[in-house]
Amino acid sequence: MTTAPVMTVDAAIVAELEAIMNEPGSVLTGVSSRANRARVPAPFPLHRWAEHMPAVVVLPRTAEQVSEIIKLANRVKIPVVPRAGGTGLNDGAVPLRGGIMVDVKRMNQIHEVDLADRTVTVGPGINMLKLNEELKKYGVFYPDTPASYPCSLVGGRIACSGWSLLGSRFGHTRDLVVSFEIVLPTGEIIRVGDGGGKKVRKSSTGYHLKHLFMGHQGTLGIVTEATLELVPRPEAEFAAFFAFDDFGNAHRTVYGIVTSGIATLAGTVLFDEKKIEYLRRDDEAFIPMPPWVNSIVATALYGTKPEVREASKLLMDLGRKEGGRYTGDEMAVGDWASRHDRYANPLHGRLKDGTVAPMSWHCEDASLNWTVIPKVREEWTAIADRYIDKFGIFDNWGIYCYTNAAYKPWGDYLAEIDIGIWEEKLDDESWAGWVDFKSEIAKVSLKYGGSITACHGSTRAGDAELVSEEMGGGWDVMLKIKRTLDPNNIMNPGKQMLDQAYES
Amino acid sequence: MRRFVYMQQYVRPEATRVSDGVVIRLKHYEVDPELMGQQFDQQDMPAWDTLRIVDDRNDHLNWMHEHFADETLVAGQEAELDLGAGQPSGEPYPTLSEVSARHPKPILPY
Repeated sequence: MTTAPVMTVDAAIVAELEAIMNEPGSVLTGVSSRANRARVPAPFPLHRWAEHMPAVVVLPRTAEQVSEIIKLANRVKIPVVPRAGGTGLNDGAVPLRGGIMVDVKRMNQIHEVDLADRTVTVGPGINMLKLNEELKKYGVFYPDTPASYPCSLVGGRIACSGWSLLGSRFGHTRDLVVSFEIVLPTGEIIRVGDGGGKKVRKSSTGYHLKHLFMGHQGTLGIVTEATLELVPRPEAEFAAFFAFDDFGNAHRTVYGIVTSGIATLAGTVLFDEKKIEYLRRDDEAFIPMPPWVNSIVATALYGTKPEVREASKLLMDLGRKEGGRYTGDEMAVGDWASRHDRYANPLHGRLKDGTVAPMSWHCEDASLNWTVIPKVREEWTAIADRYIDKFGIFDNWGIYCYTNAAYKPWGDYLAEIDIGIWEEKLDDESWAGWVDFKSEIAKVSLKYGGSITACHGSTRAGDAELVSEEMGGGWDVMLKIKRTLDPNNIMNPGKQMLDQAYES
Repeated sequence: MRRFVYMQQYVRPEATRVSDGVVIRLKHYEVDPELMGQQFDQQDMPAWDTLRIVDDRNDHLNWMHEHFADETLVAGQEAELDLGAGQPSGEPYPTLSEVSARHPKPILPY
């Protein structure tokens, strides 16, 4: 069963939605309201914008309203697509079959700050930066820090099972969300955690349903409330960047740092040669660097001041041990701060003649073990070169590798190759080429025993077709879960090849 | 109160080239306007506005640090880039114990 696209809704449906919402301005049918919610920052086929428009947008404030909307959608068989910040670098919040878009931005309240049991309970529409501004007065901190920290929302972080820049110290979204409330695809409102208990972090009761719904990409319901971890606000941070003339030495340096046992280590970032080349174009920290620099290792510590101060001495030794050169205090402070806000970067692509073109950013992410990074880097770069030559509208912005494991910095890495795309030039042929490009990149990740996504999700064409391959026997289990929980296939239909759940 | 002098604000100072694609002007790196021209129309900005944007960038980064920790520590050391690339230690990396009789050969990093 493939849910039919619903690109318009009649007046009777709008009237029912307005009755549920009971608030002026909470049901939007205008073109601008719908068009502005059709895409996310990731590359988008502009020439096919109309195919991704929701039919109507609703802005609920309560779980009960969300539940009633979903019950209505089931009754009349209209797709439902949830949307939080709309900042994802995959297509979770992009409607593939129109329908009702449930925008949760008005569900942005802080319901409770519990300093005794160390949790904060919020609506899914709150942003981490705004939340932490409020939490600062209590001396606590919610350390979920994606590159979209100033603009992404808690609901989206749960929907994509987000990755945090400081995750190796404090955990990632799945670790930092203690429990959450979700409206199921049939309208029931449930709460999921490790077991029961809104504020219980570890349980052995029943199945761990939090982990089933974490990363649901809007295909298994809509999150309406979340109880989050509070950690002591760090007294001190310390960042250091080291430059190398050889990627292998930088790669070895990362290994030395992450296996050193430094408890305050929050993360490391490895920059490859193409990334340095890209940053030399317009990044004030990299433009003045001498030509021999072709790789960087960035690293940061968070904790109490005595801990960080002592660990920083060891970190400085480890950063230099394999030939690293310290890049100075100014870069350490400035560039590390900018890691929390990569969406503020200007997106200057380059054409083959060196001129600048307006390009949007595609970040093809993967989870890879440390041992395979050099080989994957070679293959990804070769693929990018081939597609750049063929189409002339893509640009290789290089590779970052971030520590990926929660509470421990070793083992696997969020490796991403950033590709610029000149969206205005896309047509059906080049879009198909782009999907093939993505797919080739993702297949390399699988070939080397990795996962095709560490943080964005796999809902885009080019990734989605490979989910079954990565999941193996687990794919059939996913299909059974989807069909059982969403019998009418109304929740974000068309994503991740989940339509297969309804075949036969 | 400072006087607004049109010529000071709108006659852009000469840029200094720092690399193939970048120049520096008004304390600020900028992409060579020659590279921008084909796709991006260049606008006339008064000098004070350019300087405001440059200064705001630093304010923004400081503001961002304040979200994550009470204090930002630094190594207090000079940049070493002028020294040229460093030399790797040459040590076996990392030093792992010998294969024991009970375990298969470990996967070595290098």
